[in-house]
Amino acid sequence: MPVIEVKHLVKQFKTVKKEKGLKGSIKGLFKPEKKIVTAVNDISFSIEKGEIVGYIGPNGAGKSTTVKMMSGILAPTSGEILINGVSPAKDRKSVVRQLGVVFGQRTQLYWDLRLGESFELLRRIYAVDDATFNSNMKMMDDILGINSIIDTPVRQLSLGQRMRGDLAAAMLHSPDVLFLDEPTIGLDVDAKHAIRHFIKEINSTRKTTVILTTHDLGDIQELCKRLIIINNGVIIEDGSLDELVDRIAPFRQLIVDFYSPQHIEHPKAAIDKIEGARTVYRFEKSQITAAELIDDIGKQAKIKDIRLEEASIDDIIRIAYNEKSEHRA
Amino acid sequence: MKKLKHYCSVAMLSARLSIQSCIEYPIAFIGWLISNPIQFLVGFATIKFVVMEFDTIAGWDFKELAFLYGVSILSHGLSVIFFTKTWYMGWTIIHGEMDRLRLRPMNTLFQFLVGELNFVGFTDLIPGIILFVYGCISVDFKWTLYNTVAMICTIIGATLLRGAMYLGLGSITFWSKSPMNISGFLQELFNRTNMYPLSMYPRAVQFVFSFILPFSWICFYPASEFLGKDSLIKLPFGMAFITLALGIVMFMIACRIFSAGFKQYESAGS
Repeated sequence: MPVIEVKHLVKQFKTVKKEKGLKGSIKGLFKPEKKIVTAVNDISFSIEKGEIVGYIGPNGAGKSTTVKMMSGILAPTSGEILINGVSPAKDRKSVVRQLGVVFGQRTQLYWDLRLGESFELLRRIYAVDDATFNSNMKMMDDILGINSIIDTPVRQLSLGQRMRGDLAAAMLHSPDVLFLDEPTIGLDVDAKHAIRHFIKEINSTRKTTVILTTHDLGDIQELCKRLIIINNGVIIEDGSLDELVDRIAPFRQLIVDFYSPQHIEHPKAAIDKIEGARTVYRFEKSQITAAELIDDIGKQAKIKDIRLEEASIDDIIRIAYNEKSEHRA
Repeated sequence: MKKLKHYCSVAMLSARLSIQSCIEYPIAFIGWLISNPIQFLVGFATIKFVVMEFDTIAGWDFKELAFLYGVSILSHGLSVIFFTKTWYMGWTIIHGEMDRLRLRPMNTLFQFLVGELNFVGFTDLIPGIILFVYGCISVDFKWTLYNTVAMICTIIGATLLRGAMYLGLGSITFWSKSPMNISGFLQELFNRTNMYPLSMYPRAVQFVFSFILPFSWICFYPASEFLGKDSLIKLPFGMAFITLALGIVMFMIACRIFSAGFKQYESAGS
């Protein structure tokens, strides 16, 4: 059974259309023109235990709305969400017991008090028994070095330390599923590394299912075996990063440095550009392998150096966002 | 039973944490400790000056007015401890802070009220207790069984009534999306209708604050029964129980408004 099942999920918000100027404001007051905005439009997916899924999309795509519905904060307009077979809209309390949720831009820690006090409160709220609590705290110390900051008031923690605190807080009741909304936002390289290490660790040792929304390409590359890309409230891609690369950007670039300027053509590769002794070829993986191409070119001129480049994730995601929006338009 | 124990243990810990939070900022606390009592002593002094000028107000002498004020300030102090959070709940809603309450496996209203008890409220409670004791002594309040029960009902009812107004009106932000801070206005209304005997106002005003905005039940009516004073509504006994009933009913309505607001918020988002 999948841990998370989302079926035909729709979320609509009612807003009032605003017209310009004072006249528009007054008109809006007396004759409000209601407009329905569809933030999430009929999305479905299912996630198995132990997956790490990157839920990505441009700002305003509907990512946070989906996460809020999955964690029971917002009620769906229609459609269904099941977390371990239970709907958060129907039985919020039993669903949230299995969830850990961290919003990168907010904290659930007691601002004025030492970090440890927030853990104590959560331990009571979730009624975590001593043995579980202690073993969880030990694990959080091993991965996140929590004990070094546990006695510091939360207001004095750096953003990276606070995020470590928030992640530990979300794991105290041993949830099956962890929702992370932009967990690495605003963090420095070291802190990002620590957070990614944490996600990998809990995923491999506890089989915790992780869904993270992020704009950070490093997060995606290092963590996400699977990507769900959403734009304008619709899922436009769902699959592994490799699949996505193959489909959206099936080409690679071969950069060849010769000893002198050359113009060597190949039937299965296009020339992107020639700069002095350097020629950049572009070819599709399905058409020819890199080795064959190098071999063929090498027969015609002596090669000094080569470099092979994949399309960057950056490019792929940009193409994914734009391509599908054009299709819709 | 197990559930009750669980809720109690969370409430106890929350209370401890709010005391600790308060101790984190000792200078601010001392500030409140000085300024809050002064506020009420000034109010008390005002009554004294007015009485010096007019001798009695609507047939109430200074001792009786002191008693009235003491009962009122005691429930004010308690309401500050339990309901300060609701004074600013508009902003809490607008900033999406309510989301967090939905993420934990407990009742949202319970978390909201208990999660942030205001220990600073004790600085309001201290003058409340002093004035209450002073008032009781000066009118020679008889602590018979009936009077004791009636007094407890009054205090609880009045605290709930105050809290209900803050919570109910604060919850409107769930719909209006625009926080309004009317707690100051409400406190002023509560004070005006209970610091002086309501019977000194024109009948129309008395009617409004007895039936439409029933704030004078906070302590004017129970106090008039304790002291045997004339008022718009005359009952041989049991004014205090009306205060309690009113407090409970209004608080339940406020809870309903809060829940309905949350429903609306769930479907509308922030």
